[in-house]
Amino acid sequence: MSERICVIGGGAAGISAASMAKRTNPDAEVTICTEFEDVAYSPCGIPYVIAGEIPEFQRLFLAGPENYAEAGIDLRRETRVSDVDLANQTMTANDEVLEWDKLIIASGFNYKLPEVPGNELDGLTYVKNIRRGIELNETLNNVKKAVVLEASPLGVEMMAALAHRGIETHLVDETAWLLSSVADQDIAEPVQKSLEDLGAQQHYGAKLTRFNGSNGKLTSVGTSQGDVDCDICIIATHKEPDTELARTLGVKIGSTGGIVVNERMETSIPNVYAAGDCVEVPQGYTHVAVQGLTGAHAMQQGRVAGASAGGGNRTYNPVFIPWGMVGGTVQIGGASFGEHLATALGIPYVVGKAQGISRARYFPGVQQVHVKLLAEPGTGKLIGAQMVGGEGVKERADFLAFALKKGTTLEDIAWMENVYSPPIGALYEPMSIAAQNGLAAL
Amino acid sequence: MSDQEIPESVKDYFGYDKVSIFGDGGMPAAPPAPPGSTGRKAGDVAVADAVSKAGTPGIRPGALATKRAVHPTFNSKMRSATEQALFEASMKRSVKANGGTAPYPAAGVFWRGIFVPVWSVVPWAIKRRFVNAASGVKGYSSR
Repeated sequence: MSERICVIGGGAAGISAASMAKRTNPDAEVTICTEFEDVAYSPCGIPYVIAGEIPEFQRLFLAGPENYAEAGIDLRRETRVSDVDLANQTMTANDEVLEWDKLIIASGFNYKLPEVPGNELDGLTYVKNIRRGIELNETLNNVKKAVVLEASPLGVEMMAALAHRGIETHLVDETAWLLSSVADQDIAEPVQKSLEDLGAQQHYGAKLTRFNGSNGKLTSVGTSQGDVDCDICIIATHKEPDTELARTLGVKIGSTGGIVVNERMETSIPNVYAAGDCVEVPQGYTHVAVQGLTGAHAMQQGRVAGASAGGGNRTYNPVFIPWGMVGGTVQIGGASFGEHLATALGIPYVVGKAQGISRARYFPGVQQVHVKLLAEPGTGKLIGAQMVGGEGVKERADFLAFALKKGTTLEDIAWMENVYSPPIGALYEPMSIAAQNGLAAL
Repeated sequence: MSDQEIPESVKDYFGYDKVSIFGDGGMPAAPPAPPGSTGRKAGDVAVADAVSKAGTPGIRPGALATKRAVHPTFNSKMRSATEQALFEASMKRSVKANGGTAPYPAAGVFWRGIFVPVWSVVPWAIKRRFVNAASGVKGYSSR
């Protein structure tokens, strides 16, 4: 009898896990259960359709459910798994009992609930799946004022999208600057300025105290700095791992609240794997558990979980978390630690900074690229990077994350080879200049 | 060389000829999947369904994408409290040096007044061991 592999979750991790499991073991019976209506679309594109930069939601779809049937995968949409029986290796999905030999949990995340009065009011909105994104897009036609709660990556994207649409947009965040869980103050500042230019009003150091409403409908957001009137509030709080079902199985949970897995994405229970936003994995430099990473991380973790469940031998490495995004008109990104996080943890570092350019100085469209590299005192081994600029942030973040993984030093980067071609790169690579400046501080 | 001087064959081949001349432009964004394809059908169905439901009552998947926090473990509570205090202290230090708005003082008195000052004088080598013991991932062989 062929092996039965069941996947709970139809997001990036679940879909890639199922696909990889089928590829690794073509004879396996692979089933995906997702509580949502759709699969195979890009949720990360939702803010950009809302902003009007992408003309229609249809463009985010890559394939239909029929494609999974063609690939030999039993995709069950709007199917909620309510119970898993470990002893009998079964699970209950929409009242039907399914048997499994290997189970992959890819249950994703939920936004952290703001624990303040009024959090049940109509008008609190969560951007997660595409159908609710489409509904939100329709609703926004009647919205004059909006609040975005927390300057997380989604919060920043939604702030720009709403402001771009001409809606009076306010950010409420109790930290001191935008993206403060990953970015340094000086790196975040140009993005804040860009969003301000777009019309987004940002209230930092403002603690959410309550949601005020009338007739069950949100009318304003109460903060430690006063009330902000609004018709709608986008909740962009931390992505909390959805481990509700996993906890009922007795799967080991880690310090982030995510499922503990090993490098093969195996949980503490035999034949049960997990991947994506519901798991925690080690950060490459400290080996501290981290959770709630990017869609790219979820996809790769799903591939490893799928390969492992299918009988293959793939491993997932500790992460250095290259990240990047556009805030307003500015690109921001980095990898591993910035000064703020290193300072918070007490990691000693030297820093090298440079203000470089993205193309030859005389080439039209040349943009500034600010690079900051952090390294261990003494050895010069890289421990992190931060960047902000007009272009070229993503590629540098990817490169630096790889360099971090390989134990690269400031010396290596200072003397690195680089592309020099006027339309796409300056003679002096900004990362190299930053490393040279950092060497002087060693 | 102007844009008009680029050979048609080159434009046809790359489809984004402006990149090599002006450094901007780019490929046209992907259109929706072609009519009749499964991707197009999935997109059309989703849009039609969601538009018809917009503004109407009803519990639908993802509409309440939040859950009350489950009872955290001791480790989770410790991690959350220490992170809050250390991040807050680091932000305050940065704002003091560079200007800007201070973070809301959300950390508890013990964490802000005792833990942070003590943590700041402990050598990193010891802190690293502590952090790893408390919040490190075990069982990873591919480090």
